[in-house]
Amino acid sequence: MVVSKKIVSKKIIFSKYIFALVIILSGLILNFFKIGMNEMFSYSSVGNYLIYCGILLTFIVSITSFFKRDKIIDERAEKIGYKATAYVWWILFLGGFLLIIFDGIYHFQVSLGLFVSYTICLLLIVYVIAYKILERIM
Amino acid sequence: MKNKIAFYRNKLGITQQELARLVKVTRQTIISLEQNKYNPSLELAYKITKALKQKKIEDVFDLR
Repeated sequence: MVVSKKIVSKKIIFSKYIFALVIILSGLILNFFKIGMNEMFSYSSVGNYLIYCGILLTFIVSITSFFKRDKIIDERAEKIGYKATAYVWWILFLGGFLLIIFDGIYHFQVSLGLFVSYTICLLLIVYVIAYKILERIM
Repeated sequence: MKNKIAFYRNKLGITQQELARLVKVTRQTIISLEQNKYNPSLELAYKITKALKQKKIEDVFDLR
């Protein structure tokens, strides 16, 4: 295990810009070849949605890059990260199991997009909380 | 695992931040180590021993 690695923000920011550019270009290509012209998340086409995501990502990266500093990720931080991820998986399994039980008692329906969005939000919150707690304990 | 990081650090007159910079970890890691909350890897233990100008790892870290 490496003791620490210095995360150089400039490299990460540059790779994010590249990713945004790839998304925008993919959107333009899809629009050019008229692929995925069905309505998607209230956007007229998949291409337009990708272009919107790419522009939004560029905007977010530009703003956050002003406040970013180079940070050190050491072995302790990595260990905490691994443990927090393990907790997230446990919560995911437990949540899934409880949902199956609950669905057996009270049948419910929810749109897939909404379900996935809430699940991702929940997992992110669990990760952040677990990380903060472990950071204090370890 | 117990350690004498705080003792040798104070002896050398360096701060936690300075030691952290020397061994390239965060200050929080040095705090955790000094409070015996975290056991370092062999590589980190070796680097800390060197930074604290000690010859043996056993001088700084002790299995108790």
